[in-house]
Amino acid sequence: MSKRKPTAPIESDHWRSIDEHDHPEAAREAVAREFPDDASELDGTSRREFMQLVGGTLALAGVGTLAGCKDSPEGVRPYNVKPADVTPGKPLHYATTLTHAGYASAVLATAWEGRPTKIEGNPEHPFTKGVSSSFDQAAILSLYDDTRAKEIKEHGTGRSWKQFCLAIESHAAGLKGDGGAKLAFLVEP
Amino acid sequence: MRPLFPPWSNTIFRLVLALLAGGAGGGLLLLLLYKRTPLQTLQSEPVTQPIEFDHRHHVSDDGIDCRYCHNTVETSSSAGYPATSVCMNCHAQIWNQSPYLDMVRKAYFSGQPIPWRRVHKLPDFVYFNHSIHVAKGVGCVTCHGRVDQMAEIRQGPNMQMSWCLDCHRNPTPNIRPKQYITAMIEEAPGQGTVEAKSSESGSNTAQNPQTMNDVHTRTSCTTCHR
Repeated sequence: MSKRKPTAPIESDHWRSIDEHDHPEAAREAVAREFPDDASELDGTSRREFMQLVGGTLALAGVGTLAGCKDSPEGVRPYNVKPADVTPGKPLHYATTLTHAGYASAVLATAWEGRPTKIEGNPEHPFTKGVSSSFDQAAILSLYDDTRAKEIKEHGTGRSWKQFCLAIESHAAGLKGDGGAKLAFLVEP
Repeated sequence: MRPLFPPWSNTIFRLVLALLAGGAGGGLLLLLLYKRTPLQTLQSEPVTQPIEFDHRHHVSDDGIDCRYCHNTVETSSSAGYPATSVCMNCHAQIWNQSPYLDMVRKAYFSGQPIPWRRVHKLPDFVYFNHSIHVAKGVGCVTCHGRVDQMAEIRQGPNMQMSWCLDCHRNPTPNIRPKQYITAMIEEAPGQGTVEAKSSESGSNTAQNPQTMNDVHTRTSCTTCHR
């Protein structure tokens, strides 16, 4: 790891947060000072008051944790209409293909109630015979990318698949006129 | 010059030291005990659900078997919470205008699930499988209590490991014939007549035809902590 003096300019294409990327000068200044302004000054309260507050907070926190130790019951969300082949608590294995650099690998994805948890090679494939590469193993993480949508949303409000279908139906008539020329899907490459 | 500390300050010092040490140990003991009180184990605490589903009516009055709704109890580790379609099987026809069932209809037609609140929860480091318990003859009422008498479901036992071990070390009193699994009676006919084998012995039903359901004591750690 190279040592860099705090006042040296940050290389323009290395950034560690969206903020730093958007505002490089502000980030550079923030990084340059080891201790920000007023770090060693106590404004507004005297030292005695500060200690009293700390002691009071600690006592309150202790009482709070003791009384509030009990978690409220967790929520359960069963299916509205359970799919026929899904049994909650039993996994399903799906034979599928992952592509990487133009090559396909045959894998078995283990899914619990539709949520995939593990990717293994498909032992019945005549070429790979159950082998999976590190890319295949890592591919499970791409399904749980934080930036992936977790639910269908309409203008920011969560909706169900059914509601989405109903909404699309109501627009379909208008779109048919020009063969869907005004319909656009924005997707990631 | 006169000494700073009088002679009795030695006693005070030792007393305070002993109190601190005892206090620390006692504090820890109190914490351990507190975690096992019903306040923390949530034993017998009725849980209010978003819909006033009354098991007394559906089980006692209507005679619906547990497995009609909790239908994966014989095949899966989870007994399963009924899908909204199970409610609508009847309630699309009966009480289909009732305001009590507003949330059910709303959920069914919108596709968004009913926000039930979980009553029986084991920690994540425990593996519990319903199907094996049902297969070996443990009745629903043994662990969940008289559900047919509960307006709001409450946790019957304290769900501590010691309670599980009591049965795992001596399953005999809790095993009942298969036809009485969902019967809401604490003592089923034929209950407690099974000889549970030790976990070391293999399955030898042929040599011991008295043994019902091939029940073994299961006290190995990895039975539940996998």
